[in-house]
Parts: sequence; C-alpha cells; structure tokens
Amino acid sequence: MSNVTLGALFVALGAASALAGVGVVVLGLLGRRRGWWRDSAMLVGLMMAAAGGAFLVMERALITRDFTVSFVAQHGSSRTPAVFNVATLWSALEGSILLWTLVLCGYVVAVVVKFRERRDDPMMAWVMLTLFVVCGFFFLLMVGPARPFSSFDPLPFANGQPFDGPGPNPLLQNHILMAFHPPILYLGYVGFTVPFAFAVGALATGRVGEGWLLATRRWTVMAWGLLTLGVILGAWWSYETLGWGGYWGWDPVENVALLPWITGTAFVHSVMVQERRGMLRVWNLSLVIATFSLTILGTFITRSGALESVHAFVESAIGPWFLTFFGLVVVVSLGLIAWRGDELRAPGRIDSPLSREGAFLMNNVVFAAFAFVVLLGTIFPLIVEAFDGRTLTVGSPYFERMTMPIGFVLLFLMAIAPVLPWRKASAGLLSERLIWPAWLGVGAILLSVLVGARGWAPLMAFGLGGFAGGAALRQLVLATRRLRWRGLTGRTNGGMIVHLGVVLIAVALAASNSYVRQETFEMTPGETAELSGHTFTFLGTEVVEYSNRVERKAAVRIDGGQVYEPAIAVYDFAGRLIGIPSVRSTLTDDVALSIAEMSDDGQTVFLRVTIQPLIVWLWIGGFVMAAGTLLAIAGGSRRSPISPVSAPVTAAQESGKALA
Amino acid sequence: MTAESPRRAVWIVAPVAVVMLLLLLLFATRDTGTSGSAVIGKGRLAPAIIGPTIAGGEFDLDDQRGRFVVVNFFSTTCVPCIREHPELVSFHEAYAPTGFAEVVSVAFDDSAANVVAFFESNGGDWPVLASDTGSIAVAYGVPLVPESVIVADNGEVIDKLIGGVTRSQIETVIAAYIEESQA
Amino acid sequence: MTRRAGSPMGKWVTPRFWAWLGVVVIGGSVFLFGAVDDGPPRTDADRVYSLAKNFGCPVCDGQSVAESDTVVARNIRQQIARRVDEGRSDETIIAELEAAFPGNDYTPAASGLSSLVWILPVVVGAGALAGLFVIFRRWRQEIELGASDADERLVDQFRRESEAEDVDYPAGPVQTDEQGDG
Repeated sequence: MSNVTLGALFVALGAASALAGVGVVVLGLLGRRRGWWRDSAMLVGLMMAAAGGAFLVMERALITRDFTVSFVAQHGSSRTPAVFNVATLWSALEGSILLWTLVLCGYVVAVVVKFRERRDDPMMAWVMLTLFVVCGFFFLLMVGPARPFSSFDPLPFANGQPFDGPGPNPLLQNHILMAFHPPILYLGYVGFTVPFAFAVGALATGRVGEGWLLATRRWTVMAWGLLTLGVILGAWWSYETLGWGGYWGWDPVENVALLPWITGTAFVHSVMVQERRGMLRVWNLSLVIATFSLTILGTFITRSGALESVHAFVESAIGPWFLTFFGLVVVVSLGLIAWRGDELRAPGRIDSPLSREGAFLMNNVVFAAFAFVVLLGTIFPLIVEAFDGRTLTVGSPYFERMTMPIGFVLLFLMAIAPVLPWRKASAGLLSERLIWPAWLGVGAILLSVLVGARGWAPLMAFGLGGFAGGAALRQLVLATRRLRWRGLTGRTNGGMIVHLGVVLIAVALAASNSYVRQETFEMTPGETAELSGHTFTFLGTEVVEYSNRVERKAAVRIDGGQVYEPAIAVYDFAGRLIGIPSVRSTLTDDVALSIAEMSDDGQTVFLRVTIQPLIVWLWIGGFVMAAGTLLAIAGGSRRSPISPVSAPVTAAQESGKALA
Repeated sequence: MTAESPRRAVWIVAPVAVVMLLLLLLFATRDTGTSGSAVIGKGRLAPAIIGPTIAGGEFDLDDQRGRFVVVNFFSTTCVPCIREHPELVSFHEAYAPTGFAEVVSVAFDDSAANVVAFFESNGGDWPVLASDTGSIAVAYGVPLVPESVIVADNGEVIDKLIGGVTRSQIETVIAAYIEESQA
Repeated sequence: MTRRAGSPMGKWVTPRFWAWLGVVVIGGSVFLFGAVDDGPPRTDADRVYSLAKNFGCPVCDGQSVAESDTVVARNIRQQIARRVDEGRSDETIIAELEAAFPGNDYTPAASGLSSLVWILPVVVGAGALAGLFVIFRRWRQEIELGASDADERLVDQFRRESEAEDVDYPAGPVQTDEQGDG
C-alpha cells in the first residue's frame, strides 16, 4: 500500500474513532450505555494507533523521499540532512497539525490510564467527552483543510533530472534546535487540554470543589514546564539562526506563544490559594479555560496568516476552522461558568493583603495585566485597521515599555511572597525574614555599579533580582538544612528553583537589552576592527559546498584568539540567501558575528558585530526553570490527604453561607 | 471573587462574552491578504533626486519642471523590471522628443557596471542614476522593485505604480491628472 | 517575635532596624549614583542601532530594520546613519521614515485612536487595583465583625507557633478551622 493511502486510512480511522468516542460518551452520559468507559478506552487506543501510524507513515515518506506524497514533494528534498529530514514534518502546516494530534492522543491515553480507577465517575465522562471533541477537531482538520496525505505525481524536470522537492524553509534547516523546539512547545501547548477537560467536567457536573484541581495539578505543572522550555528553546533558536543578536522580537507569533504561558503561570500560582483556602474558584476555572482558548487562538494566528510574522506559516484555509473552534470553546466555557458561577461561591476570605494568599492574588492581577498588555498589543493593529483602514505596527518599544513595570512588580512579589505565611504576616516577621534577601539585592546593585552598569532600569532589575533570588535561596537553604537533598523537591522547593531560573532570565534580559552594542564594519582581509573592548580581524573568505547549500564563509579572529566563521548560505533549490551567524558565548558576554554583505570576489565584507552581556544566562535560566519544574513534580506527595473526589457543591455553599 | 448578588456570574461573563465576540468578528472579517505599501506623498512635492548619471552627466529633478517625469526604480536582476523595460522605451520615444515627458531610472541595489550593460542591451537613453541611490529609494518609500512614481509638470507626485508598468498605464495616469487639473 | 516592647522608640531601634537602615541608605545611594551617572556616552552607532530596532522592515513580516538584511532595510539603515550624522533628532528621523514607509513605526502614536493601546492597560490596571482594594476592605470589615476575642487569641497563638517553626500550615485542618470560624 502506498504511503498516501496508508496515511489517509490512518487519518480516517482516527477521525472515526474520535467521533465514535463522542457518541459513546454521550450515550453513556444519557445512561444508555453502561460500558462507555471500556468502549471509549478502546477508541482512545485506536486513536493513538491512528495518530502514531499516520506520523510514522509521514516520517517514512520523508526519510525515503517518497515524492508521491505531496507534503514530501512540497517540503522535503533529497538534499536535506537526515536530522532535518525528520524535523521537516513540523516545518509546515499539515505536518505540524499531525504532530499536534499525535501529542494530543498521547495525553488522552495517559488520562485513560491514570484515571481508570474513576471510570464510574460521571465527571470522567465529561472529561472524556471534551477530549474526544478536541481530538475529533484535529483529526477532521487533517481529513479536510490540512490534509497531510494527498498524492502527487513527481514528474521528472524539464532538464531530465528526476523530481526533487525544495526542502524546508532554509531558516528551519540550519539549526539542530529546530528538531526540539516545536515538539517540546507542542507538548506544553497541548498539555493544557487536560486541565481544560477537567475544568469542563467540573463545571458540567457541578462538582467545582477542589477535586479536579488536585487531579490535574501535576499535569498542569508539567505542561507549564514544557511550554516554558519550548518558549526558551524558541528564543535560543532565533538567537542562533537569525544573526542580529535578537532572541525575542515581540512578534505576533511569539506573543501568542507567550499568552498561554502567562495565564498558565497565573494559574499555577492561584491554584494554591484554592487548594489551601478554597477561594478563587471562578478565577481558576477562567484561567484554565483562557489558557486553552489562547492556545487555540495562537494556533489560529500562527497558521491562518491573520497577522504578519516571520514565524507564520503560509496562509491556508484552516483559519475559519480554527476560528469556529475557538468560538465554540469560548461560548461553551463562558456558558458553563455563567450557569455554575453562582455555585462557585468561595467559602473563605483573605484576611490580609500581607499574606501568602494576598500575594498570590496580587500576582494574579499582575499576570492578568501582563496578558492583557500582550494581547492588546498583538491584536491592536487589527482593531485600528478595522476602524480607519490604517496599517500600524505595535512593536518592541511598546511591549518593552509596558511590560517593564510589570516585570519589576513580579520580581518584587517573588521576593516577598515566598517568605509570607498564609493568612496574615506582621511587619516584624517580614523584616526578620527579608533582611538577608534585601542585602543580597543591595549587593547585586553594588556589584553591577562596580562593573560599570548604569541606568535606573537595569539597576532596578538587578537589585530586585538579587532580592527575589535571596528569598528563593532562603527557602531552599532552610529546606535542605531540614531535609537534606529532599529539600530541593516538592512543589514549594521546586518552585523556588524555578524562581531562581526566572531571576537569572530577568537579569540576563535586563543586561542584554540595556547594554547591547552593534556596529557594522566594512572590512578587507587583514583589517582589524574594535567594538566594546573586543577586536575582530577579518582573515579572508572561502566557499564551501554542502549537499543542500553553498556557504560563503568569512573567517574572523576574535580578540586574537579563536577564529569564527559567519557565512552567507545559498540554498540551491529555493535560491534563498540566508545569513548563518557565528557566536562566541562566554559567561559574561556574547559576541555575535554575521555578514550583512559580501562582495562577489570575497575581498570586502560588511561584518555586523553584536555584543550583548550575560546572554548565556537566558538559556541557563531556562534550564534551571525546567529542572525546578521536574523537582516540583517529583516530590511533595506528602500533602494529598483528601480523596481526589471532591465534595458536592452544596457543602461548600453551606459553609459559605455560614460565614456570611 | 465572592458572590454578592445571586446572578453575579452572569454579569461577569456577559462583558467577557461581548469582548470575545468582537474579537471573533475582528478576525473573521479581516481579509488575510498582505497589505500593499501605501501611496505616499500623493499631491505633495516629489522628493529631490540629484546625482550623477551613468552617462557621466548630472541629474536634478527640479530641472525637469514643465515636464511629466516617470521615476522608475528597477534592478537589472528583477524579472518584472526586464519585462517592463520595452514599455518605458516606447513611452520615452513617444513623449521625450516633444519635451512632454521624461523618464529617469534609479537603480536599486545594483552595480553601475551591471546597469550600463543592462541599458546597452535593452535600449533606452534617458538619465540613469546608479550610485548611492539608497537614500532616493528611502525618500520615495520604495521597498521592492519595480516601482514607478509619476511626477507632474509642477513637481507634484501624481501616483505611485507598484510592480511593472505599461506605456498605456502611464498615459492613463497622466491623462487623468490633466483632466482633473483642468476641471 | 521575642522582642520586648520598651519605649515607643526602643521598640523600633533594634539591630534589625540598623540593618534595614543600611539596606535603604547603601542600596539607595548606590542605586541613585548608578541611575544618575551617565556612564560611557552613546555613540552614533548605538543611536543608529536603537532607531533601526524600532522601525519595521516594510517587506519582511515581523522583522525590524536592524534585523533584516533585505535591500530596503539596508537602505533605511544607511539613511538613518546619514541623518544621525547630520545631527537630526530621533523624532525627526523616525517621522521622515514613517512618511516614506507608513505603518512601520514600532512605537504607536500617543494621539488619536492608537493612543488607546497605551491608555487601556493603564485604565484596566488601575481598575483592577481599585477592585482589589475594595475587596480587601470589605473582607477586613467582615472579619472584624466575625471574630470574637477568643478566636483572635487562638489564631494569634497558632500564628506565633507557626512563625517560630517557619513551616506552612498543614492543609486540611486549617481549612476546616477556617470554615467553621463563623
């Protein structure tokens, strides 16, 4: 059987299983089908097999260069190196939907395995229904507008050469990070489907107590961690491949990847208030729903060409599909909240703003503002265009100016919140617990000023960073003193490690943004240029041919030491010129070299030099955050004494009334 | 976060729903085509073009007052530029001798040698600027070639034609301008 | 929490008071010095870079003039360099570019419709803070009404113990405690 037929069969099987799953669960909910769980578990297995099968067929087609599959003919090529050949799958729309579906099915299988004990629970029926609907949507996309398996007739070229594809976008096949960034990002994105399904289940059954939160806490944290890692890897990828020293451009696609991260981060924090105090229920449900909706909105924006961006896939017909699905998600969830909202009355009160829960509440307000700013800035050009037809760009100056104060407040909260006890704190307690973190902050400012840092904004960031880092370290030191190495695990301590990662990133962001130097030098061989205390000697050029490209490299010696070779690559098929930068990273600063222009004889280059301090710490901070997330998931099971089945709403309402 | 009135949830949800609906509407009604670059300076004085031509002379747009001028931005490697060139030649042959109109070509990121060779093989004898033309392109807001700006006899910009032009297209633009200014 | 309350002043003048005073004085003065002192002067190249970074390349979706290597981006970079060299101000340079390539200035104007993008977040943020303030005040009033002296003493004692131990409250009991409070 050909790859096209086999793949299309798998896709059809997946779509049929998902739709059958919807039917089975609905019958189960109506009480017409007792064995709905067993049936849906089987259908989930089929879905997984279908998604996995389709994925493998596509990979086989890509690896064996089967150009009868039109996706391979359009995006693959015989010249693409092996690793990027595998990664070609997610370099274009149809394949990325396929990967998305596979990841989604994987999560659904995990839900079925993990919650098999609760098969009689009607809430699980709603969870499964939601998951089947989402799966069904993605499978239908592959049946309809984003069909990965359609056939193609690879006629030989006019010059008699056998057919060959163009290969993926050159930018997507020149760095190994491209093999990791999208799958990890998808693992994060898609992971939020599970808490969303539980939120819908909780709302639909009216069991809006704490049960669904406990059930999905680790799923959420894991999805959040993967999303974090995916976003950081994406920034790293742009930094390494785009060659202008940029890692974050506040581009629409980057923004929509950040949005679910922001609401997800808010949720990871505020969920603790609900667990401890039973409060903020509507808010938490809204955050979970917002996070999931934003991933769908983000996919719409990335893949429909609604907003212009370097990362956007070409325009395609799936826009209306995604928009409809987004509308459905929003309408259903808002409807559910409106219906159940009044049963979500919180049984508790926050006694004092100066308490752990007060700080979490503040944190959530700030994160909500953060999300609002990013969302508004991203869609604002559309609003203006709709009103008066003007085109307008909202770019980095806006986002930087608006998010900087938000960042400062968040750092400040990161310093204060971890030392606050629940319920209420006194000034004396705070002054006792915060004095060492405060001195660490002062030390950070002092050190920065001594090494020559100037300007209020970066100094503020360094000082608050030291303060917040001190608070996180304090918690870790106390915990490890008591529990040895186990003091690094569990949600609180793992969370503090994540905070340390955030502090590293905040400091690196402030430093690299504030003290960036860039200059372009016109050079001939033997010439030396200087910038920011570094010297660059242009030695000469050479031309190197690879299977898929020709590179014209310029050899540049940095600081009289090692030679770096930025290049201009011409990908023969696409004929596209792309720059391949070369970066020297050290713990203190990064020197990025790229060629802006090179004369045909290779005797003159325009060498663009970008020097930014502390860049490496962005990536280190990212990995610290990922490690912290793992440690947070790993330990800390000491605190789940309550049965994961939540109490019916009425009990919570009663206690609410008793208080009022 | 606490509920006061019994139906408070609805009051919270309703505005969110309205905002979401507007958002959906915004996305749904937007046409996903790329926006064309705007016509700039229409009716305003055309930016200065002063510089050496490849023939060795000196060109100044201000010296062309009293004539209509087609300012053509091109490059020797761009296919539509090659395709539109005969049209410009034909336009020039028809109107330049009478002093009614003039054409001036401004090279876009090209070497003078390439430009000279291009005109030798494709014909056309009008002023061509090839060196240091980046700032002219910026002043005329030219992001890609070919683009042609039609300048009126009084030095005002009439219109900017994006992409390859034809002789009749230029004639139509000028005729419409004359008709309008007489009305 | 073992501090003795002596005279009103003596209550505050403790070693920790001096430590915090040090934080404020030293931290504050170093910060002020670093914030006021200009450091090395901005070179023309720095200005060109920051201007180019804040203007979008007209033909490349989502990249600024500083980032793109297209011809038009290079032309604009050269133009910026020329204007900086001529001594023009940042505003006039950007205004000139925006006139030639409209819609590419990355900084939305603070007037007209586009000023909304600046104002709305401030309004919403202020609204949220005001809302928080109101909610906290209401909560505090309710609590003042709700708790008896005995309750307060109990809570106080518990709080003191937990602060001394530096541990979090265990989850379950506190919650029930809290709920049965009223």
